[in-house]
Amino acid sequence: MGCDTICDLPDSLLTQILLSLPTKDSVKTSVLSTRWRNLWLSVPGLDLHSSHFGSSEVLVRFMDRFMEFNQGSCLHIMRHIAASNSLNRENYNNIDRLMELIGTVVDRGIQHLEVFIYCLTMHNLCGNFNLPVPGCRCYRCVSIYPGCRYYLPRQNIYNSKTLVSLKLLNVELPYPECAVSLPSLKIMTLSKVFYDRDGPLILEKLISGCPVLEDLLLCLPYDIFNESDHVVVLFLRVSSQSLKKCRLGFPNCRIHTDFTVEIDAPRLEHLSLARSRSDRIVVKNLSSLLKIDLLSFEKGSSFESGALRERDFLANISSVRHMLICRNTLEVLYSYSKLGLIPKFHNLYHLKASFSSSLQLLPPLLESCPNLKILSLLDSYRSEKPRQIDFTNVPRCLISSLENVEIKKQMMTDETGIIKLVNYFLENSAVLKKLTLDFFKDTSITNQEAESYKKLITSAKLSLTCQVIIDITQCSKKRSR
Amino acid sequence: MSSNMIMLKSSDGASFEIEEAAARKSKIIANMIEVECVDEDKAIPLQNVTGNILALVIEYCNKHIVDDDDDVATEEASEEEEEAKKKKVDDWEAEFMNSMSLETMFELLLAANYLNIKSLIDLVCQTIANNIKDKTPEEVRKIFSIENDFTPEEEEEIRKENAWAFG
Repeated sequence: MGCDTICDLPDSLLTQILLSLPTKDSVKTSVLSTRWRNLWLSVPGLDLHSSHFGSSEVLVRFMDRFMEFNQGSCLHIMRHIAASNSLNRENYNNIDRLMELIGTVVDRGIQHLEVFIYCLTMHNLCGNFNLPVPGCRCYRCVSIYPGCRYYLPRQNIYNSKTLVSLKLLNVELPYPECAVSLPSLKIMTLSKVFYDRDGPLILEKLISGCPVLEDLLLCLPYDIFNESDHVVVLFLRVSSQSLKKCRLGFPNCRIHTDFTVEIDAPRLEHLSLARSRSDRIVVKNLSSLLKIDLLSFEKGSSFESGALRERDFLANISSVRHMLICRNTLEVLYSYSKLGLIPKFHNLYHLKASFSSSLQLLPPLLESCPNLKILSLLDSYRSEKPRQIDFTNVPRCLISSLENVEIKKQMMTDETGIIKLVNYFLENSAVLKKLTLDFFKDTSITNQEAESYKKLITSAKLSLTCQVIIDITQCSKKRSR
Repeated sequence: MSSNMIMLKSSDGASFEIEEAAARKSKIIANMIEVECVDEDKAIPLQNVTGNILALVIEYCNKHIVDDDDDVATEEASEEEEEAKKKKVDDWEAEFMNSMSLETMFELLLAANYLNIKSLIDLVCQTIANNIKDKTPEEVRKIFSIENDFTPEEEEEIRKENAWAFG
């Protein structure tokens, strides 16, 4: 089986190589030699970036030709990335045609469909003034100039036997007229696909029509514009017997809502809640949960931070092994712990927390994690404030289970505070095996300086075998900004 | 996991011993094992794969079977450890592909295709594709020694068809 040159490979392998390329590079191979003349037309996938095409008209013409030729074979993958400003300044018929072609692709048995339309001009065109501007993607302008919407009109998106992964950003989906049935769908990522108050209901219907769905990411799946000041009541139910990973984020919601999320997923292993503006999160049947991320819950009056308000919520997630929290969550959990509202996380093995000046909030939380083995702390802020680390009591996990502490600091500005923290862990952790201090430094750092940090570290280690690693990365100017 | 060893024999007569679990990365060999047409003492003849290429295939399979085992065993692995492990595999793959010529890659691709090892096909295709990405047709012809058999007029015509791609 000799094969000296690439041209000796069979067509099926050459098209597979082309499948690993953006369509632009694949098309360019047509000019290599007669052997390559039409290979690109048989590639079972498209990877299009609207910026590669001068206009959406050229894009549509290309798609038409490709689809015509590719009729027999089935298209496996389609990835389309567009920036709205390269599409919507032209006539809207092209956008409609493009959306129709996506419908055709679904008919042809596509397995992986990704359409991301990035709205670079989201609000900027009209500046949110009173005058609507065509091409602006803010809700009001879109409702007045409906041509600006990237609306997928076909119902077939709800009834594909082949679809395995579906990822849509800024592609509006129609109201499902009949039952949803996506028997192969495993991965679904939706962002800004509904603009109606029915959004949560449609989502519920959609999720319940996916019997093998494993990975769900919803990032502001519906964007609702409310002219009046009335509170909009929303209820989203995520109910799935197959779901393993679920990430929910509702950033920048522009309206007053009374928003409840209910999650019922007995196989769920990883739940990630980010920037959630929801007022209530109700969880049921999370017996498989291993990992939870609680990110950017609202700061300030902690008890109004509704997402965690439900006392059952914490009790229902108390079996997790991994937890990731941000500094806002840390504050909320701290105020809860003072009231004795935090359950014991007996299984918690790895806690990752970012902090700024909120370090004193940590010990009460550690008190709730009696079997913690790994603690990772990330200081994401450049806080100049001297830190008050008042560790009066020693949490149980330090005495019996904590083996590994990692402290990452974006910028070393307050050496003494961080050294105090390091020494606290060294002096109080009985079974610590490794402590890593990892930080960026503005100025170049000499070995001597690094040595001087080491001298600051206590010699009174409680765990004699503990290894201390200091890792200093010099920060380039770009990075420090 | 079974640690049975099986024998593979290349087209040029070289014999290789490989763990069954590693050999199962190949769907063809896995099928042969399923239908029990593998005699314990006899080597499986692979008529389309030469010894030097088969050695590479086996190196790849051995590397990846270990990782599959780890997945089961490391319930307690932290995210970082998993990431670090993935990075290790990625680094190994990059190094593995880096060490061979384009000609070897083509043969390895044919062998992976014949033995039906999906992840190896993907790896080799991606590596070859990286040599095409963001390059001009002239550069691609040079890298792969492709002879341009178009007349200048024909070539111009093809470029016009999809002028957007050549911009």
